[in-house]
Amino acid sequence: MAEVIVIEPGRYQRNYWVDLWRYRELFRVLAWRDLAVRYKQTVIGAAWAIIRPFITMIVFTVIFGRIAKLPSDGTAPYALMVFAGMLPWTFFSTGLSEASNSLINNANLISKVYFPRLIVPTATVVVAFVDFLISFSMLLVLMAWYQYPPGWRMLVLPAFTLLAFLASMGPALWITALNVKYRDFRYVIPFIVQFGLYVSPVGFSSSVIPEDWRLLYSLNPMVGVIDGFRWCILGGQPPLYLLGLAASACVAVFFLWFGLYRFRTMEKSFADLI
Amino acid sequence: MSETVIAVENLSKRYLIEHTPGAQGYRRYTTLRDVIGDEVRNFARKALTAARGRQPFRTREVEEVWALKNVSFEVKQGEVLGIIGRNGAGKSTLMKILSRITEPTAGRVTLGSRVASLLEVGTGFHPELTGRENIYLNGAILGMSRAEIRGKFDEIVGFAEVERFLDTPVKRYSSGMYVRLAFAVAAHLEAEILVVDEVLAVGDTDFRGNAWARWARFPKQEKPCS
Repeated sequence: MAEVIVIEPGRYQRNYWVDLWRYRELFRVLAWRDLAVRYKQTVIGAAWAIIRPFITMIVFTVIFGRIAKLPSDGTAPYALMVFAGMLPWTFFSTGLSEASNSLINNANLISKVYFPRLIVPTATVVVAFVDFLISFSMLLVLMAWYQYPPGWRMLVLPAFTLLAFLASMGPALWITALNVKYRDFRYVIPFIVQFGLYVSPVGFSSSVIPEDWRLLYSLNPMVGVIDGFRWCILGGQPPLYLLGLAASACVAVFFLWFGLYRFRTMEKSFADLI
Repeated sequence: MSETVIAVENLSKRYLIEHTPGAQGYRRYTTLRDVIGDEVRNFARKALTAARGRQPFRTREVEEVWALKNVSFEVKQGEVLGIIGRNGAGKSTLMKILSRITEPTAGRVTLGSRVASLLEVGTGFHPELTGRENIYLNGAILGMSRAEIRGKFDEIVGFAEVERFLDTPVKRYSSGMYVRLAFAVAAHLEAEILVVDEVLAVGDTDFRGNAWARWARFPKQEKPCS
């Protein structure tokens, strides 16, 4: 007898992380399915990951850079600065919205098969990450166009990408759990994403924020991420505001813990609710 | 040979069904809008009754439904257990607890080894993906490893008789082909304990016979089914 499985009320929680590791194969397959479906259904497919941030970049550059005449970071072209901000923002927002709807979209799986539910929202982030990589190649093209050589700071970029991932997972887990219980919650997500786009320094540099307010502003975890991305890509022209970065990271970690906690408490009732 | 593989002791499962007076009938799912609306309505009602100096009455009735109550049984190695009963008798709830989809309210189940459960054929089939892709997807969902699926791939395809349409998206399949493919993956599921719920209700008689014949070849399996 290889192993004994005991099913009891409350037992579910105990070997959760072991189970999560055991089901890594399913994680891989679900991520692959989401990817395959995404690129099969849309004719534009991969191009969409380039077109969307590119057009937003043009609009923001014209509105914030030309019309509002906001300053760029150092000598960096405004468009490049916007794109450096768009990159983590699109990763964050697609990750958030895909993960938030993931459980509802996989309702048939949840009610028919057992596996750690955490797999479903995390697998969707893989799709957002592939989109991110595609947009990243677009960034390299832009940098070549503006003849803006990348520096050693680019090597720190994965750390900030990880922070963006953590920042999106926390709220996503919370919302996806709420989404199972209250089905109209999904209408809130586009609002959050839209709102966040203007609250976060995507179209403008965070250096336009008055000094006294910057720490408070950094409580938005995406502020730290976007500042970090710009620091890496634009060659460290606005020096990193470390206190703000720490604040952003703390908030992101707190939300991750909170989202996980909410998800785990609601998880066992998913199959009954969905 | 007579080792106990499944031991169920005093298993109970309770569902709470809410009846809210004033709400329009039964809701398929809750929405935040309804919850807020109900709360406001209840609050207003309570405030009104309190203002009139009466005892506040209960505004929400929660009905308890025991889908399972004190169920106990044992299954020994090599046994096949069938569960039959009327609609709503709790067969599916029992299957869901055995396959760990939902938690029991009380009692415990001890399973001697890993369980493969089959509550539906074709779970997770995606219409946009091809037959080949769906075999891997469905297999992984049912708990097969990639190597295992690869090893049985030809057998599955032969069993489903869909060789010619392997690279066609399953949305273009006829419903018969679809069910055969879904069934073929399920029929190649191997585990010490196999939980099956009503999945045999699909496919024609020949096909069903084939599936049973396949499962019957593995004498170590347990197959409770309803």
